[in-house]
Amino acid sequence: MKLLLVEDNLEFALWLSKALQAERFTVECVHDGSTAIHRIEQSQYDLLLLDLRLPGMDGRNVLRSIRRRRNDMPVLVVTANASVDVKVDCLDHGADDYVGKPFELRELVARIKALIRRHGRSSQSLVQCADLQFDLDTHQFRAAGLPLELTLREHDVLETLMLRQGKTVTKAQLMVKVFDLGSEASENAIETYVHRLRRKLAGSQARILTLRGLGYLLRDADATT
Amino acid sequence: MKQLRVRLLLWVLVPMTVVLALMAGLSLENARNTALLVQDRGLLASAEVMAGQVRWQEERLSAETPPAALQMFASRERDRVYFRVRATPGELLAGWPDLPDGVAPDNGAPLYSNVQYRGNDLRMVTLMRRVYRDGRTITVSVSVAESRNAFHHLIDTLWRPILLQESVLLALALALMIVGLTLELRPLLLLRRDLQARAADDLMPLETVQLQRELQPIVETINQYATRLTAQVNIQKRFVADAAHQLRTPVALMSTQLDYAAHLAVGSELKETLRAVRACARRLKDLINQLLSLSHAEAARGTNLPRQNVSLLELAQQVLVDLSLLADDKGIDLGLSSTSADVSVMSYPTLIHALLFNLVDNAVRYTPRGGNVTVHAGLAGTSAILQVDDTGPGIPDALKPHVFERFSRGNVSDNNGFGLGLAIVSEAAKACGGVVELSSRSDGAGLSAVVRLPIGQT
Repeated sequence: MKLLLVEDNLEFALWLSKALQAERFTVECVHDGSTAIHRIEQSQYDLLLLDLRLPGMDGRNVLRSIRRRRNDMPVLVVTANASVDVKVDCLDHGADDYVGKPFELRELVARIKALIRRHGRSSQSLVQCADLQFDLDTHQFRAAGLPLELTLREHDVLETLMLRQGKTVTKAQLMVKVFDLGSEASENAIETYVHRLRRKLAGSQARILTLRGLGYLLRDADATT
Repeated sequence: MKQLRVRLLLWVLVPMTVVLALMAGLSLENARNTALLVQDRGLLASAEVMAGQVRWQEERLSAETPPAALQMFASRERDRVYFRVRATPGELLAGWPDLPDGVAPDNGAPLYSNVQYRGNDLRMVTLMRRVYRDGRTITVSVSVAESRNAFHHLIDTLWRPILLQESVLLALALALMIVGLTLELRPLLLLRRDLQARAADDLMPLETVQLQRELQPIVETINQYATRLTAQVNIQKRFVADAAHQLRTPVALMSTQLDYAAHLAVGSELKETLRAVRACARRLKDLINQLLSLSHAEAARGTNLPRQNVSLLELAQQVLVDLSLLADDKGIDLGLSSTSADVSVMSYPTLIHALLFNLVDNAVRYTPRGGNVTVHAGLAGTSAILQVDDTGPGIPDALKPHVFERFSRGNVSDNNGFGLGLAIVSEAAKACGGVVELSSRSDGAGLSAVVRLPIGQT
């Protein structure tokens, strides 16, 4: 996947490129707005990583200029200015997502992948939560690189959680996904499946968490809030 | 306060008392002189009448004491009167022979003296008269003495009204000063009460309307000082925000470098070290975010930023999801109360998020493993409430006033927090017009934090 990074802090640009390359992205780096627009006209990128504070033409203008040319490439804004107003402003100007500095590389990578996938430019059909992968084509789970052996119902529970990762899923919602209408199942059964899934995911960074009164959610155990 | 009253009283009353005492002394002297004059005249008149009655009778002098001469003294005060008529040398004609002697000058002027006789203080006049007969000159001395009851009574009658007047004057001055001072100091006392009732960080100008004109410049000076102080405080606040902001880029750079290094690292020891450094970088990031959150909350107070509709139930869910990992790591059962209801308030979404996030974060951090933390959102009367109950150790009453201060920690043994959480909660609540209460749970099982928020127009 090819990314264009627009970042005026040379040192930060260098290290972020290196880190993203280590995550197997192809990264091209420019340091000001007009060069960025020039590059976008000449080449095709899967995603634009844009700093808002740039010398000359600032990030917002770059964003506006791109959208005016009916270019709908995904844009992820990265900036040190974390105030809500800026966030809203960016999204209004056509950014797809927003990450405030300092950020976790994992989080950045996850968001980049999510944006690219949503945009449908990548053939990637993998959904990922930490080292847990779900292949949308084959419906296979892999944890830490190894296929995960799951029963049908465990699979349904994990798939539901995986596709809504980071959000809570109530037991009732899981019941609907897992059991046929009218079948005589109790919520206890869901607890049993979750319990088994937790055991099977013990070696993975993905974790199923319980929030009393809200339900279950799947999260990357290494992520920070 | 009291000092001013005492000092003013001293300034006025001490000199006034001295002057009045002097005046009282003078009038006493006056009264004494007048009384003396009156007594002396009586004595002299009486002595002269007696001297007029000394005549020759059958070759010798005789003195009669006419009743009129003694009736002069018949006073209400029952003064005792003694007299003696004597022809020189040594021949007693009438009266008391042992009355003390007084030698009057020869020129006929009377001699006045104070004498002691039979245990009484007496005023005495002695008069010399020459009597001629057959070429002989005999000197007759007439002495009349009177005790001093009437004298003292007269002094009293003359002097007492003056003393009374002066005492009344002094008492009146004292009373007027106390009343006047109390009334005039009232605006100052009101000012003091106004100042005492203020929040520690309230630097709004003081009211000068009720104050005397002399005091207004003082209050205006205080107000100007407060204005300068406010400007200074704002600079400080901005500095904290700016500094935190400046720290973001280097910390972001460091995190990125560490992430990259994690890919390269081979030795397990190196990996371990990198993980530790990365944890540090995360804590640094958290601290920066907390500082920014705090200054954001501070800056929002008193401004009229547009408010937005915030669903407290959605917010609670969001915060619970945010903190689910921390709770799971600490083995804490985190959840939403079953009685929670969805309430919307018109407020600042980021501030309310920061508020609830920090309350729950604190609860999770301080609750021991195996405990539980429950968030409740709902309505209570006319306000919306967010409540966080935990099964932690609670906060001792002695520490409660301080927990909202920056970098203060209820539990010192914990070293994961920065002590900014409750400061953010407090600032955010103020900015949203809400109130935070920390109390022990009714079942005594931990801390209950309740935030009341105005609902506002939706």
